[in-house]
Amino acid sequence: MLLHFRSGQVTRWVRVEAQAPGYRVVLEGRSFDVVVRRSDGPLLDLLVEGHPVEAIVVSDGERRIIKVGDRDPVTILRTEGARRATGPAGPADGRLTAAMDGQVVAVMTRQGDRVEAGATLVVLEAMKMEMRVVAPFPGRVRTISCAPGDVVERGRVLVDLEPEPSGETLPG
Amino acid sequence: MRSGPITRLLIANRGEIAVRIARACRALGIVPVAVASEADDGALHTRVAAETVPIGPPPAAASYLRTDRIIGAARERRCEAIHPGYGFLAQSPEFAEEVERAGLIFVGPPAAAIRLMGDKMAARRAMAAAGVAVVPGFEGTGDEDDVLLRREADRIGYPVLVKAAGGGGGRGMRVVRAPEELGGAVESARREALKAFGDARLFLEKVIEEARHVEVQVLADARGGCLHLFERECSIQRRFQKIVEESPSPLLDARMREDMGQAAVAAARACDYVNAGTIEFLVGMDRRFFFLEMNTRIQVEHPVTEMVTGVDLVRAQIRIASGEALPVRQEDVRQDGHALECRVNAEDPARGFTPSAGGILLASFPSGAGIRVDAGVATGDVVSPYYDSLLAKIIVHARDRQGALERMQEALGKTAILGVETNLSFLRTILAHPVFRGGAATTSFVERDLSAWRPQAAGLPDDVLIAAALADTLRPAPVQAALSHGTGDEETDLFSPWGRLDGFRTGAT
Repeated sequence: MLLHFRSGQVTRWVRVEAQAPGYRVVLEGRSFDVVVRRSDGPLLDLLVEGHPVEAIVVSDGERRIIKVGDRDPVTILRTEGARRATGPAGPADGRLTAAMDGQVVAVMTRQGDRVEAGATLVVLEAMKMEMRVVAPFPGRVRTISCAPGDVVERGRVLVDLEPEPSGETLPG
Repeated sequence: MRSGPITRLLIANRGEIAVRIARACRALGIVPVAVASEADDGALHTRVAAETVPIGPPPAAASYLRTDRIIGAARERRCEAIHPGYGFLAQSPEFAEEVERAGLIFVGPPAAAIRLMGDKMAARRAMAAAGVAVVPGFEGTGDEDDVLLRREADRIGYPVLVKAAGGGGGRGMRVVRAPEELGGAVESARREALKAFGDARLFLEKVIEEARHVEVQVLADARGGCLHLFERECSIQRRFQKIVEESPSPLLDARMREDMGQAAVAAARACDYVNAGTIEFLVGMDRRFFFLEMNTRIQVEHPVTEMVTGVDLVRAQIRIASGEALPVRQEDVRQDGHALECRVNAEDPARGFTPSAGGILLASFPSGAGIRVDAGVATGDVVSPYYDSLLAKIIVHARDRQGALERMQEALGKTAILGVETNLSFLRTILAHPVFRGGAATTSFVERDLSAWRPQAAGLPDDVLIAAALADTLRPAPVQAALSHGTGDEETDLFSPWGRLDGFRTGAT
């Protein structure tokens, strides 16, 4: 069985073959003998080349979260195969998103407004703490896709800002 | 204050503290009745209660802050008493009054004490009058204009704190390092304070540099008894919220401990306090201590006091509310060994501690000698964005601080809450940090020493990949589909010994 996992931008493949008394696991050319001592719900108690590995593995769609021993958990994605990594948003991307789940307390700008870098556009609140969504560069507000009172999830686009050089900072 | 026998108690809260109160009720033979918003339908605190009353939509203002619905629920279910927990209505004098007016017992202090201490400006005046030193600052009428506040701030000396009269827990509070920042901070603090407390009054306090946060637990009955249960140090804070607490404080010597204990009792007596409360002090580099505020409720970090004194504070609260005397005498209260608490929050420390939400695919907590876990969630639960981010408290007790530090490191390593971002890795960094280990951390520690903290880029170790591959090979169906809600009473320590998983699996069938 050939499986692919993606961590960040890197996709790695793993081949698992039954081989008495357990499995032969091949990681990109390197081979490991693995014995399953116990597999119980999310728990996996393995012997990898004779070394005990106690792991908790849970899955949610393609997401896999693995905690081995007392180490911090690692999140990876199960993928269908080598896939081209999706690139990050461009540096001039003006789609400003909610950095946390919360509620929109105030929208401090209007569509079409010219704003300077650092201007507060939206005030979010979670657990009675405020967080400001500020313009990362001077620009014109193209769209506002939230209103005071909206409950928004982390990552949701709140304001689309079109880069526009500031009059004051124009050279010469 | 109303008191009397309690056979059924309504818990006006959610999360771990509601679970904690329900357990105390069971221990006292009292029937615990929960309330739940729509977002908390089926939540852990409702599963440990005997009954649950739905009280409205997810936003707290439409549910957990609805005095009418909560009191209505208590009457409908024939409860004699209401325990407010912490947060929500716990420090609302109006709520305490309404509860009494409805003929019910409020498990907490008299409304007058809540009102006095809730007004941070009035509290400062009352404490100064009682001979307890307060942080140098300025309090006027609370609605002073920027010009006057700026003059007072100049007199106090920067940095200054702009604080809300109705504030607490960092809300409505701003640090101002230079005069030109004052106007913006005042405006922003006023708005936050007005929204959070319905009170825009502000005052100023000097920032005590390199301060330690040391607080004293007090307990008073309605018969005039009042004692303290020693201190907790809570200097490890992020954005004014505590994340690691301990008792005893590594800072104090016997003399200072005694002085602070006496000051705390004097403060409690000055406001005719009854029930459990906490006097918070700031200790400066010169070891002088100043009254900061009094929390007129049970606190999140109360377990560390329970671990070292052996006094069950929540049970004591309920017994005092039913009219009983204090369970111990001052001379019998001992601080035995050392206790630590870590708050596991659904938040991302690498992104400014922004709260995270989502489904908990798996929650597994440590167990064993000297380990206690007060959890508000279990496997299968959902962390909603509406409430506090606290998921669970890991509490350890050992003979000395060194032993407690080691036990906590081990306990945190065995804690797994998978599916939402947590601060577990961050907590482990704190526990391993030489400044904290040396007992020298101040309230500036997290911001100064850990602001650049990022989770270790572990890469993708071979054993992790092998475990993932084997799991997918062995299990055709997603695991979380086979899990269901537990009551939190099952064995949830998935680590060792491996054989104790029966309770966990029973829940799935």
